[in-house]
Amino acid sequence: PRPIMPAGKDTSSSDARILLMLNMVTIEDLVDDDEYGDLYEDVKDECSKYGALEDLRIPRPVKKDKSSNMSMQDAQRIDEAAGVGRVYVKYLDTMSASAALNALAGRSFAGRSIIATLLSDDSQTTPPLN
Amino acid sequence: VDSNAPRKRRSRWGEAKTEIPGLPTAISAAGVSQVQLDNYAIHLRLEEINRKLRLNDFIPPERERYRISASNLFSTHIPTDFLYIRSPSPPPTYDAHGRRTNTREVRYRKKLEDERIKLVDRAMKNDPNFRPPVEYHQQKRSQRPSD
Repeated sequence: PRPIMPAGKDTSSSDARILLMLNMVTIEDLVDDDEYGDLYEDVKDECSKYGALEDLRIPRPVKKDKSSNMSMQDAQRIDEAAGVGRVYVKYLDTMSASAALNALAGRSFAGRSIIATLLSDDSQTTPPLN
Repeated sequence: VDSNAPRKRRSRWGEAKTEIPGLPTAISAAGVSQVQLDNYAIHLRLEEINRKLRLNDFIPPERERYRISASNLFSTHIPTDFLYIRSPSPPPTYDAHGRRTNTREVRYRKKLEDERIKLVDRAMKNDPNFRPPVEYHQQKRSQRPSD
């Protein structure tokens, strides 16, 4: 597979207006409703500084309670497919998305350094936005 | 502006940018799979944890010490937007010599060490070529009950 490369000025991503952020939230941060609401506002406030948002998704894990028969492995698979642990921000235009990338990549969020990349609308790695 | 206006809720955002050499944070997604992205995130987080532990830099600054599940800690609902809430420290525990065993240092260090174990386990599952850091083995050994 291709190695991970620093974001460059490649023309192929010129229509990219989705900012994907990794290493920002953990499953544990997303379980409690109050904490989730708080975290969502934190992300929304900051991301809005770089342009108008069309969509913001922070996928949450499936409920793991004793009453459901779901195994831990199944739950984990569903969470992974849903993109839990990732943050997707869709801007109205590409300029905003690249401004956000420049500003937010490497910033710390709850003590974690954000990894960020830009995706175009037809990207295969955006489950919650489809 | 009303000086009695509610203080802004504590934010998880930090100002500083930190780059680990060789591990860029602004990356290109061209030709990169989901799994590869996730593995990269695990890898960077592991490096980050190792650094924090090595430099003894694991106690978050006061303003980034956000609350943990306030709804579980308080019986009445408090509008959290209006308050700074610090998660209460657990009751102190002591060892046989009367030394405190769960200081803030110990707790934050343990949190990162536990996270490291989880990350390494995930990375090994995703990537058969993944080689865990030395600290992982040391820690696993010390956590296992002696046989």
